[in-house]
Order: sequence, then C-alpha cells, then structure tokens
Amino acid sequence: MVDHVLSWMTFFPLLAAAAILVLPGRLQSAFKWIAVLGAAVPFLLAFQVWLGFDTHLAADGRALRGAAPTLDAAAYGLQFVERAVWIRAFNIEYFVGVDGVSVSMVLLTALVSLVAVIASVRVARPVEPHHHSIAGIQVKERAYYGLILLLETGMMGVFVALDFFLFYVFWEVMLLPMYFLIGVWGGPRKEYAAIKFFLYTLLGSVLMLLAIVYMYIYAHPAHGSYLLADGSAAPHTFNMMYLSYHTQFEWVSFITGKLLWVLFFIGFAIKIPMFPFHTWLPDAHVEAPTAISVILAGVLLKMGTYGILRVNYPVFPAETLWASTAMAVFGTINIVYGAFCAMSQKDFKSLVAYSSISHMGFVLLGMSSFTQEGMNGAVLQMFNHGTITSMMFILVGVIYDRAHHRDLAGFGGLAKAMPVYTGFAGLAFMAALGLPGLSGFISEALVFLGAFQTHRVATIISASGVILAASYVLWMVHRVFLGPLRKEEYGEFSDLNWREWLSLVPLAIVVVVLGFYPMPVLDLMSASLGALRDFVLAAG
Amino acid sequence: MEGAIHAAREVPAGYLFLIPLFPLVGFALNATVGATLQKRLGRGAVHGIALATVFASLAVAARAIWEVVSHDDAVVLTQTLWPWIGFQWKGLSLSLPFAFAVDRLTAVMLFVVTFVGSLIHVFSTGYMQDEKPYWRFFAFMNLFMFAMLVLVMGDSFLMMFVGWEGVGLCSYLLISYYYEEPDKAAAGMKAFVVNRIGDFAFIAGMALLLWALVGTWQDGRFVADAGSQAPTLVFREIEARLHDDAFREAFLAKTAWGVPVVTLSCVLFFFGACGKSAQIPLYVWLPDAMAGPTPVSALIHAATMVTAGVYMVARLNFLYVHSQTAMTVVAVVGALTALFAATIGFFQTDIKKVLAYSTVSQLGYMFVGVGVGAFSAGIFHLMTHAFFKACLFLGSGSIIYALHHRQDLKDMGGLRRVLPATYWTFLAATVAIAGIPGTSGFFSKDEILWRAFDNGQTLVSGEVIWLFGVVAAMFTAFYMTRLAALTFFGTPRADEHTLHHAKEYKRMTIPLWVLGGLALVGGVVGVPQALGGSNRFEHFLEPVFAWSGERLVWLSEEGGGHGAGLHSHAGEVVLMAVAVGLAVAGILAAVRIYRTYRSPEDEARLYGAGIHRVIFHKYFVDEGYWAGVVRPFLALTRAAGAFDKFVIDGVVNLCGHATKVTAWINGGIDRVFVDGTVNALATATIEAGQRVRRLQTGRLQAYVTGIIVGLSGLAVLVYALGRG
Amino acid sequence: MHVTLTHFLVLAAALFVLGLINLATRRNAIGVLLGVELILNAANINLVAFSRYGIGGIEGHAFAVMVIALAAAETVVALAIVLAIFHHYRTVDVDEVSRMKE
Repeated sequence: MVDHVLSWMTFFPLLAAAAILVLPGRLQSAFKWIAVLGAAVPFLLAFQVWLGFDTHLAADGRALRGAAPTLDAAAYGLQFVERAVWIRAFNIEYFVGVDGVSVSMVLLTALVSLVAVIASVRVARPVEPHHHSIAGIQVKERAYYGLILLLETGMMGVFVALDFFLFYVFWEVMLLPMYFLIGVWGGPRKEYAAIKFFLYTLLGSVLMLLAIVYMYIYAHPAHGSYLLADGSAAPHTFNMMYLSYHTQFEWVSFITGKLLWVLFFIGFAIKIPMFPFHTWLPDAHVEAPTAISVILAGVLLKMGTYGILRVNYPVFPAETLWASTAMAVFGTINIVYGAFCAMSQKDFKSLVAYSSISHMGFVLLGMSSFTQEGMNGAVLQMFNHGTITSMMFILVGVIYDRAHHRDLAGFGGLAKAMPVYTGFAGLAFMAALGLPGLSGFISEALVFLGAFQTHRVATIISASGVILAASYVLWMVHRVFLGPLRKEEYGEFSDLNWREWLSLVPLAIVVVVLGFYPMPVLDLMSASLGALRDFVLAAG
Repeated sequence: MEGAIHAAREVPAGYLFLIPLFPLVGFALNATVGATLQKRLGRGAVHGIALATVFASLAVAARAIWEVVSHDDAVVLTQTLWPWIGFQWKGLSLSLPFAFAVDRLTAVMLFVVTFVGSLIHVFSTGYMQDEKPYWRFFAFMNLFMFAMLVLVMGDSFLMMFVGWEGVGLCSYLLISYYYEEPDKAAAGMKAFVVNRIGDFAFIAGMALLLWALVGTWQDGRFVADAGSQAPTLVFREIEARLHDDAFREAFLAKTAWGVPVVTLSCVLFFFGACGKSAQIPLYVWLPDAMAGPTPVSALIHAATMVTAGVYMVARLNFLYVHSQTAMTVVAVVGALTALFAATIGFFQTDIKKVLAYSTVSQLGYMFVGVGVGAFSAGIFHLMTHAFFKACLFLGSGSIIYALHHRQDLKDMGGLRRVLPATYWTFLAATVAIAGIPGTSGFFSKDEILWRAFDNGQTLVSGEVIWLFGVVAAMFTAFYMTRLAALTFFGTPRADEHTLHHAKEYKRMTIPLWVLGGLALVGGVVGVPQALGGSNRFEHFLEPVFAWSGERLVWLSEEGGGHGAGLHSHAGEVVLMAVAVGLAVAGILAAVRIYRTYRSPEDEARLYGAGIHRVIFHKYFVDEGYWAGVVRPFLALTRAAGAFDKFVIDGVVNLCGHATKVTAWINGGIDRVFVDGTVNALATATIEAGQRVRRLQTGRLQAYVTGIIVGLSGLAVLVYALGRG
Repeated sequence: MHVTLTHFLVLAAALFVLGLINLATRRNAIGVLLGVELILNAANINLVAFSRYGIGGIEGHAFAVMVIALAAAETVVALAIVLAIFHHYRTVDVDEVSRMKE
C-alpha cells in the first residue's frame, strides 16, 4: 500500500514527463515506454483507491450546515485525504481527496490515460503490399509524450483537488498540453481547431475564476472560523468543503447566488459541451490525433459535469433546484439535437463526436432529476461514456491509419476484410446505442427511470434518443462495414495489430462486465450522491 | 375477494442460470475460435458446439419445467445471481437483482424456445452446410437463444428488457447475415430501427410505471407516496403490491397528463410489443426480415422472438386487467392486424413473404387472445403457432435449399414427389394453421375466437372482434391453400437439372416430422370443455392468471364492457362450426382457383387489376412510411447538421471574426496613439543616450580627474554651505 | 611630542592625495595600481587611528586587516588582468586599452 496515493497518481506522470524531457535524444525509442510506465503506475494505484475506498462514507450535509468547520475529512465523506498549507498569505491549501462523486472519475482517468498512451505507440511499419503505415505518433515523440503525461497530471488533479485555487490551477494545467497536442500533431485544420478549443475553454475558465475570486472574498464562515490544515484560523478560504457546507455569502449589489451559479455553469457547460457551446468539440475531435480524441472524449468532457456536481450542487443547492428544469431542457436538447447532427455527418470521427454530445446530454438530464436513480445514472453514464467513446475513437483511428480518410461514403464492406475489427466495432457501437447487457444501457436506463420522476416531458422526448442512436449507429455500420467491398485495396487491410488489441481489450472488458455487474462502480458513488441529493433537496 | 388467491410460492432453484448460460458459452466459443475451428476441424466442430449447448440448455430447461409441473401448487422457481442495480443510501430507491424466475407461464415459453430452438438448430446444420461463415451463423443463433431465454426467464422489467433488446440485436445480426448484399443488410437495419421505436415506448412505459410506484414531484419538491415502499420493477413484487387494496387504489387513481397511469403504461408497453411482434403500425420490418437465412425466419421471425410481445402482455396480465382501454387497444390492434396481414398474404409471390404475412396475422390472433383477457388462450396459440409456423418455415427452407435459393413461387410447383417429407409436413402444418378440426391450430384459434366473442371487458363489442378474426381465419385458409397448391401441386416449373438433384437430408427432415406431428396433435393439451375435453393447458396456466381473471370478472361486472355472454358450450360449438365452415370454404375456393398455376398477371385478371395492385404492393404502406416518415426524418437530420454548421458554428466564428476586427481597430489605435507616445519617449531616451555617451571616453585618468574635480567641488560646496 | 589623532589623519590625508595624484597622472597600469594601494592604505591608517583614539573596540583593527587581505587579493587579480592585457595588446598603457568603451 502506497501512502499519499492520490499525490502519486497525480504527479507520477509528471515525473515520467520530466524523465522524458531530460533523457538524451538517442534514447528516443524509449520515450514511449517511459510514457506507458508513467500512465501505468497511476493505473495500478487506482486499484488501491478502488479497493480501499469505503463505500459507506458520505457527508451529512444538513448536519454540517449547522456545525463549525472541522478538520475531520471523514465528516465530509472524503477519503485518501492529503492536506497542507500551500500559500499561507491567501489561505491556499494543497488539499486533495476523493469522495463518491470523484472516485469513479479518478479511476476512469487512470484507465483512459493508459489506454490513450498505448494507443499512441508507434508500431514498426509492417511490410505490406500498399505500405499502410500503422501510425501511432511518428514525429516529435519527446514533446508528445511529455505533454500527454502533463495532461494526465492536470486531469487527475482536477478530479482530486478540493481547494478551489488548486482546482483552477489543474484546470488550466490541463488546457495547455491539450492545445499543443491538437495544434501540433493534429490534422489539416489543426490550428483552427486548437485555437477554438483553447479560446472556448479559456472563456469558461475566466468566468469560473471570477466566481471563485468572488467566493473567496465575500464568503464568511457561518459558524466559527475556517481552519487551515495546521489548525490556524482563516478569515477567507478556497476550501471547497467549507464553501459548500459552512458558508454565508454576502451579496454585492447585482451579484447573487444565481449569477454565480450561472457563471460556474457556463464554465462547466462549455466543457461538457452543452448546446449551444458545443461546436468546438467536433472540430477538435476531427483534427486531434486518435489518442487525444480518446482523452478528450473519455475524460475531459466529464470535467464539465463533474464540476457541476462538485461546485454548483453543494455550494449553491437552492440555485441548483431553481435551475433544475433548465438543466433538464438543455440535457434533452443535447440528446436529441446531438443525435440529429450525428446522423447528418459525413466524417466518421465527427459522427462519433456528435454522438458524444448526445450521450453527455443523458448526464445532464440524469443529474437534474435529484433522484437516486437519475444522479447515479448520470455519474455512471459519465464513466461508461468514457470507456465506450474511447473505444469508438480508437476504432475510428484504426481505420484511418489504414485508409487515410474518414469519409463515411468512401467505406463499405470492411466486415469482410477485417472481421476482428468489426467484432470490436460491433461491441463498441452497440454499447453506444445502449444495448442491454453492455454498460451504456444501465446508465441510460437509470437516467430515464430517475429523470422521469422529475421531468416527465423532457424524459419522454429524451427517450426518443434511443431510436435516434439506433438510426445513426446502424446507418454508419451499414455504410462502413456492410455491403460489398468498396475498393479493391480495402480487401488487403490488415486486421488489428497488437497495439490496437492492447488498447481495446481493457475497455471492452469494462464495457461488458459493467453491463452485467455495474455494482462495483455504482457502490462507489451511491452513498455520496445520495447524500448530495438530500443536501440539495433540503435547500428547496 | 382477493384473499382466495395466494401469491405463488417461491422455490429457489440454483440451476436456472445454466439454461441461458449454455448458449452463451456456445456463442462465446464460436464467436472467438469458431472461424479457426471451422478451418481446422471442419463444420462439425462448429455445429457440435452449438448443438451441444442448445441441447444442454434444453435438458436443464426440461428439469425446470418438470419441477414446475410436479408441484401441485403454483410455484415460482427463482434464482438470484447477484445484485444488479442498487444504491447505498438510507432512502427508498430502486434495487434490482440479476435474477431469474420460472413460473408456469415461463415454463411454457421455456419449452417452446428450447425445444423448437433445438430442432431448428438441427435443421440448420443441413440448410447452412454450404455457407462459408458457418461459425458466424451458429454463434449468432446461440446468442439469440441466450437472449430469448433471458427474456422469458427475467424476473423484472429490466431483465426482460435485456433479453428483449438482445433478441432484437440477434435478429439484426442474422437478417444481415448475407451482409455483402446491401438490400439484406438494409433489411436488418430496418428491423432494428423499427424495433427500437417499440423499445422507446417500452422504456417510457417502464419509467412511467416506476414513477407511479414511487412518488412524485410536486411544487419543486419530491414527495414519496404510494405507501412509501422502495420502488421495484420485479414482476412478482409489483403484482403482490397490487394485491393490496389500499395500494391498488392509490396506484389506479394516479394519472399522468389526465390519463390513468396504468392505461398509459399498458398502452406504451403494447406499443413496444407492436415493434417486437410486428403489429400495426410497426409490422413493416417483419416481411423484410425474410432476407435472413430461412432457419432464422423459422426460429426468430416465427416461433420465438416475435411472440415476445404476446408473452409480455400475458406476463403483465396483472396490470392490463386494470385498464379496459389498454385491453381494448390490444384486442383491436390484434384483430385489425390479423385481418390486414392476411389480405396481404393473398398475392405474394415469394414463399417466405407469404409466411411472413401469415405470421403477422397469426400474431394478431394472439393479441386478440390476451387483449380480451384470455391470456392462456393467447399463450396456447403462441405454442401451437410455434409448431406449425416453424414447420412451415423449415419446409419452405427445405424447398429453397432444394431449388438453390430460389424462393419465388413461379419456380416451384409439383414438388410433392421430389420432396415428399417436406410435402407431408407442410401439408400437416397448413391444415393446422387453417384450423381444420382436430389439429392444434383449430383448438387454439377457436379458443381465442370464442373468448373474444364472449368477452365482457373490451370497449369494442366482442362480436366485432370475433368477426374480424373469423374472416381472417377464412383468408388464412385461402392463402395457405394457395401457397401449398402453387408449391407442391401442378406441373413442376423448375428446370430438370434442379429437380433431379433436389434431395432431402435427414438432418432437415427429422425436425420437419417432429414439428409437423406436433402441428397436428399438439392441440390435445387444450381440448375445450365444449368438445368434451378438459383444457389442461388452461388449467396449467391458471395459477398465473387467476388473480387477474378474478379482477376481470369483477371489473366487467362493475360495468363498462359489452359482455355478449353466451356462456354456454352450445354457443361455443356453434361459433366453432361457423369458423370451420368459413375455413373450409376458403380452402375449397383456393383449391378451385389454384388447380393450375396462376402467375401474378393471371391473378390480376382474376381478381381485378386495381385490387390486385393495391394488395400486391402491400397497400403501399412501405412507400407511405418512406415518404411520410423516413424522408422527412432524413431531411430533418440534414437540416440539423446544416443548422449546426452554419448557424451555431457560424455565430461562434462570427464572434471570432468580430474579435479579430475589434482587435484590428484596437491595434490601430494602439499603434497611432498609445504606441506613438511610448515610441516618442523611447526615441528621446535614445537620443539623449547618444549624446551623453560622448562623455564615456574610456580613459581611466579622465574619470579619476572627473572624480577629483567633482569631489573638490562638493567639498567646497559643503564648506560654503556649512559656513552659511 | 605627544602624537595625537590629528597627526595620523594628516599623514593619511597626505598619502591619500599622493595616491590620488598617482592615479590621475600615471599611464602605466602598474603605476595606477600602486596609486590604488596608496589610497587603500591611507584609509587603513584612518581606520586604525580612529580605532585607537575613538571609543575603543577593535573593529577598526579588524577592518584594517580585512582591507589588507582584500587589497592583496585585489592586487593579484588586477595584476593578472594587467598581464592578460599586456599579452593581448603588448602594452600596459591604460589609454590605449579603451575598447570597453564601445
């Protein structure tokens, strides 16, 4: 058992990145393996977190409301906590820990990052009739692997940080590598996509920063005073738990809780991405290299919904209730509109990107319901979407590496040439359309069952998403895999190589197992989400 | 009143999981190593695995059925495998196990699925022997068996839904088995999407029901009600709660959008069943589904999967009986479909298409049965239909195989001498479906018709439903006789070479004989009292439907229905005689007309070109859907895509450009004013520097002299000032 | 004759002025260095004298010792530079070596 496991998980990739940066260039062939190691260690540590997590622990928000701030992390439902004063002048702490809301995201980040690094590995070019390079990252490996590991540190940090300042730092740390990863290793319109992604996200984080600074200045402890890690009293705090449970706000003229709620929400909604802030996503996906798409869809989008659950829900419970219907409506729009757009795409990857928009709508809908089924369904959907979409993007990458295009109309009959690939694709796409027995179904069903209790009309409209999903997925399968071989050369495509196997198999296992036995993940989150739900509803 | 009915006793049975597990293992093996096995060891290894697992499943199912039968009282065999969905939370929330349950209704389904399924697997080893991806076929067939068994054994809505969509998936995979032909692949897609429309309703119904069972959202607050019990989706538990008077009243009083929840959810579930069981308006996928290999049509699109909707309505009897409206919808849609599809069967020229429409029509009968409250009659027809329709499809498969995959009636004729086993079994199944007295179809169909006539709970009078059914029965007799006549009688229209090489394999004839035999005699378990029997089938299922049966009686006495109420054996016999008379008339008419081959052109002349054209083109329903639903839908998707690209992204890019323009203007201001000042300052500094620079001679002595002079000056100054 | 502080200060002032003149007039780099040494020692005399006649303590002595040590070190470095300049320019005339001006 490792002490400080969350810090190790967060910063080990950074150490590996540093190692890659200082190693001499003649060891270039080792960079990717160091990167794999850098992502594998957090993955292994994730098991410690998973097994050691006490699933019964949850914050009793209403009791905390009436009490003075305490240093007892367990009272807030937090585990694996590390806490120390970082910048005393501003009461900033290094405060990390997980509860039921974040632990599944930490596990997901560890898994998806490892898969993404594996999916980047350059494979020796096989001797084939048409010399299809089985790509992976071919150029500037040092920078690429350094950045991707830095990205993992940023993502992991966002999910474990419990101090707003720290949270914001990690949030920004994650932004920059992403910009370069898209902008340097991307496709033809990479600069446009990277800038669009960067500006959009930056807009979101600026709004968030405003709200954070406001909270720091105008939040007062309701009982007693805030405590720093060493027990000293502090008049202001960035501590998320204190701001959630022990705070009274002082409103300055036009600024109200609703405004802060909206500022945070837009900041997070851009990340989800929620209609109408979603157009950066298809561009970013289409231009990004495969592994980066995997991380983008697999982890980054979840930060939006995670942020809403971590910040908007506990800090502004009454405002959250006020906005419940709006969230459900936007969730519904995401589901239906995303599916319609997916159906009309001509590019394989952009179809998958729009399907992500549709699927993230389920998360929004589920968590707006304030039912146990809906909220658990939402977080489970975050996890499942992470694994399923990662698979889909890897699969798109597989075919792009061989055919060098992604035009849906240009494929056809691949099932004959690449049966194993088709098998994996079938699994992933069936999971995406919510086929029972695979993980996506459980979360979507829970979202429907839960959300219906609160938002009946919105849920009924959203449920039509199952028809739309079937339409765009099956039509895509029809165009790409079925029918006669469209071009002679497709017949000579090699089936999956070892790297592709290695990146797909772990995800496939998770997708199948969680379809039949989702309890390992549900157990992690349900106590905390139940408590959060009660806390929010109590504010109504 | 309800006190008399006890909930069934639960008996744990730890072996139930084996029933679906075996086919799943078969699927896993064939899907992963099947291709290798086929290459290395031949096809025997592939179907060896498939058959072994299906028969193993049959054996375990037989044990389960035996256990259910051997108990005198009604028992439910249950097995809970693991918690499936549950939350660690102190409040009331959904908790569902991954569990199986086998009661008497499920036992019947288990028998149908595993028994007919096994026979069709055997048949497939012959029919599919020339196919290259042999392993793929058997893998998917095994997967289908798994899904179907989960569907019938699942003890909750969600478990059932796993099987429900699972069979849909397998149906898709098997219809698209010849995926290299775009039409066949498209047929699979159509089947899946249309099924999904039904599934949407199923999900909505499920959500609605759960909502009604838990609590509600009022004035921005969540209020738990209905006795504050944890919500459940387990069939047994819901039924047990409904047995409680107070709970039931609260539940039945609940409305959504002004409609009683029970009605709304039952209608939604039925709409789901329409998708799966190919009823109006969602039947359109089934005829296209005939693109799959014929054993698939027999197993999935005749005997088992398409009956899942009927099974579901029967399974939910405890809900349906509380909604006259829903029951009426079921019965009326069933009756309409039965008649409508039967008429389309008249002029189809593809042997499998005729059988497909016949299946749609027969499924309509089953829905009439369950819709009028004759749940056991509906299930009885489900079983007999599985026998005779599977036999018919396998027979058609035998023909198609013999004719090298030609399935148009114009290539057939006179096959009775070439394919004798197929001929006799086909004939047996034809008389069964036509309802000739003594055959299985006679007993089941007449039970339904009689109960429809006699029912007192549908809002539409029973006589009308009966009339639809009995006319459909006549039509059925007619088109089935036409089919048999055009296939087996007359002069052969296939070429000599084909006929010479046509032969029947044992692997294919044995299942035919078994199914043909059952089609003839399988009805003995359900001989009605009116004909001196004891209807053991109904008695067997009685415990499952007893409570809802009582509720039905009570509700129809409460009023609202149009009970005809002959309530006499004599009346039943009269109705039977009418039905049989019409069926015989249909047969005789067909025999007269089709003594010789009639091509579509002949038929058009015979029946009138207009009628023929409309019916031949299936009332242009597919075209209507294409123009009225699919095209607008596709246009909508394109519009959404364009909207996203040009409007939403356009606004984003506009913002980007606006920023750029602002930046440019800003930059101009910057250059002229702000930068101008700064630059002027900088220039001045540089100029000054240039001048001062001259002082820097680099000569040490000059500096020192400077220091001395400066210091002296300073000293003088200090002195002078100090003095002052 | 009683030696007072004033005597020392006058001596130191004389030395300082000599050093200063030396610094200002000599062209030879070594001569300049000698001038610097004179100035430093003038300061040393002051330090010691103030220490002896002032309010006591040995800080002045300590400073003087330090200055001597530093001056030695400085001279070493300076001579090394002068040598280097000589090697480079073949002269030790400070006026000739004015490139750092640019």
